[in-house]
Amino acid sequence: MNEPLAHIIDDDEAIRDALNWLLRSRQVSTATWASAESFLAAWHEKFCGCLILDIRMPGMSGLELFDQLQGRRCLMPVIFLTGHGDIPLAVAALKKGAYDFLEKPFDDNDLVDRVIAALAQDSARRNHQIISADIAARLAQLSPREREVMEHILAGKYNKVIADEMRIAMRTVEVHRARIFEKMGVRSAVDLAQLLAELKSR
Amino acid sequence: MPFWDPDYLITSELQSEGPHVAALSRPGFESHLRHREGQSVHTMVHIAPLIDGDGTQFGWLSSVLDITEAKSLEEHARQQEEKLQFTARLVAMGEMASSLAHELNQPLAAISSYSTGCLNRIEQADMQQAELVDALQKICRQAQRAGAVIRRIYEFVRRSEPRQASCDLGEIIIDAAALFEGEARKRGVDIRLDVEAHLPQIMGDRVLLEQVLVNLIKNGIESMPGILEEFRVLHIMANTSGENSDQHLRVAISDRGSGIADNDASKIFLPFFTTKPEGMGMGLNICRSVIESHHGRLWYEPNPGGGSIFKLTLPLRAKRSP
Ligand SMILES: Nc1ncnc2c1ncn2[C@@H]1O[C@H](COP(=O)(O)OP(=O)(O)OP(=O)(O)O)[C@@H](O)[C@H]1O
Ligand SMILES: [Mg+2]
Repeated sequence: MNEPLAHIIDDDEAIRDALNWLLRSRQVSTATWASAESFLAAWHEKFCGCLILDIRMPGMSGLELFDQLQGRRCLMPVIFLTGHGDIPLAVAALKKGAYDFLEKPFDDNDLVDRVIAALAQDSARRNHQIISADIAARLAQLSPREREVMEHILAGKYNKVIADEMRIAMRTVEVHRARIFEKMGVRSAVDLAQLLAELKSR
Repeated sequence: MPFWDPDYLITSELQSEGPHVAALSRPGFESHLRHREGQSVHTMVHIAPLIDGDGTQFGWLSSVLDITEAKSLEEHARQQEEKLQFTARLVAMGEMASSLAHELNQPLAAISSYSTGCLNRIEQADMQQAELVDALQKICRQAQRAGAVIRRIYEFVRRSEPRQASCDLGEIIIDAAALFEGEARKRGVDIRLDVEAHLPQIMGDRVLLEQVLVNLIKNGIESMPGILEEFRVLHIMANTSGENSDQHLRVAISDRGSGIADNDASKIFLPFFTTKPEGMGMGLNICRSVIESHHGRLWYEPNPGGGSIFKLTLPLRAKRSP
């Protein structure tokens, strides 16, 4: 299940089916689950997309599922659907990192908009993960010496200054710089700085 | 000063007419006597004939037992019991309302999502008629599910028809007003009762009718804090009117309080309409359903002297329920 899906989790069959139809009417791929327990049993790290979760369900409640998933480091955004009296619960969930909540009755296309936004956020997060992994792999190729030179380059120093500080020939610095750029896949010190900034963001 | 309590004169006289009957058929009877200090004493009277050796009666022996305290405990217990019953019924109604709200919301939410989905698809070029038919059939099914929930509400309402018993509205008014004695004194409100003597009994649910009076008196008292103390009067009148089959009881509760803005007058009987920060807005709504379930009417009129009047009528001969 690596395809991004809007996971609909609701104990009411009609609600599940109706939300399924609604989301598909706007080309959102979905999966439906009749209980928090069944979703949790099926869940693994490769699941991606977002969750649409009824806050109140018999058995494990939506909030309990949310806690459990957070404990398992599941990062999919969660949109809670709440009844009239449950706003304080939903607000508490937001503080714990839920993506959003909608109070019933809600505007259906508004829900779809938010689901689409949540899916986009999840996909951006996964892209970022891939990119980070890639940068990390490139960094791993650098020798200790090259890493040292890279620190100097990132500090904005000229080759001449680096050579003096490291007590090596200017020519050697130039060779290191070329290898670093090659291994990191960048063309300039500015590109290099941007690439590493990306890794640090988030 | 006679030792019979004048309020109970009629019954006391009746009972003294035939002591021999009472003595033979009953172990004793309750009677209201008056203490020499003036207060009423609730007594249990036992009478036995005095008979000599030949079997001839030569007099009566009677014992009088003060049971005032036992009676007031009994009364207290009865009131507690009524309060409990009423609370239980309110809780049941509240629970039912919130669970029904949830059960109605489910099919309505589903209907809404199915229809929005249909509208979305209708605008798209690849729309298939069959998928819309399918969604529309599901909408119908959910509408029927909502209908079934509503039918259950009707059934609940039918089951909770008021319990019919003969009751004395004058007594109910006095009891309801008595509940507010402390509150009225604290707020400087003078509750004046003007209840016609010997109001005919009506058939109804005493607990619910008392709750109507309680809600109306409470609203009246709550409307008067901003008024000069000399005008803080809550007037409760009750009398009979009409003839024969159309005879009914009339009650009017008038206050000299804030009155009700013209804009609000049409809304005050709606559930959850309130202008009070702590109000639930259910008081008048409950009053009206109770009175209507007794085939009566309850309405509001502005008090010409300032303030509000809530008037109600209850038919003495209830029309047969449909
Ligand atoms: N005697 C009155 N004088 C002035 N306004 C009144 C009076 N009775 C009712 N109202 C108005 O009607 C509204 C509804 O009354 P109702 O008894 O239904 O609810 P409430 O008193 O606000 O709350 P609660 O549910 O606690 O009784 C009140 O908020 C008030 O604005
Ligand atoms: Mg009230």
